Amino acid sequence: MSKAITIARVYSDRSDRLQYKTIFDELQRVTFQLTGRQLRLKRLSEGGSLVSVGVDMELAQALGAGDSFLPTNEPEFSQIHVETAEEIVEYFVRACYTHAKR
Amino acid sequence: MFCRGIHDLKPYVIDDEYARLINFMYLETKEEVDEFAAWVKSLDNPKVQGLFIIFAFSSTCQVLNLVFLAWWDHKVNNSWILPSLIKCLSKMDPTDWDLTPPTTNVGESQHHWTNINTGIQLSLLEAILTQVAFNVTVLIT
Repeated sequence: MSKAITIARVYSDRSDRLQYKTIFDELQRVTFQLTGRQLRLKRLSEGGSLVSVGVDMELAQALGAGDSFLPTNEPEFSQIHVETAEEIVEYFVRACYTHAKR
Repeated sequence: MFCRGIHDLKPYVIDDEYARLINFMYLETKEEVDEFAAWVKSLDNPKVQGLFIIFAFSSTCQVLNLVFLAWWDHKVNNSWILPSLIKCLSKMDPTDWDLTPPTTNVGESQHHWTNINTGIQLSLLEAILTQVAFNVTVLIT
């Protein structure tokens, strides 16, 4: 990766799984509102462009992302037939080595 | 709270064991992962593997924690964690895995840079307002 751009910052006073789902739902909604294009994972959705989601080791964060992106899975395209966030995140989440070590 | 990082285990294992633990994410095959899991069990160390109870006041953001699930159990019981850390277990396309940074360091340094410029320990509303003002400054300079 040669370039990093911060496109959004979220301020929140909660950090549970539902809150993270809401944050990722909002990110999808706002992305569509501003660009006219859907924010979709390339592994899950036809025409998707998002390669992956990098997370730290917070359970609620990864599972909230899973909850939010689960409905975007197109099984006929992805050949992924799962029904839970825990299962779907294995296809697009990579966790931070530094957080796993410390 | 979960016993999340390997660093937390350092006081409870010998140096050689620690060296092996800290490198678990670089295991290259499922067989190596199985071997590692068997080895963790063979340590017979309740801190590393098994349920134990500890009364601890954490100095960080966590409050009083009564039950720590030990380190490896945490990884195994949350079935997606190992695949998110060990490439050979991930269901991600290997090329996509390699394209994804192995740490969140870049994002965190950007976060840190913003914090320096906006301050921390603010209320939710203050944090949002200082961020908006800072964004405007960045945009016009």
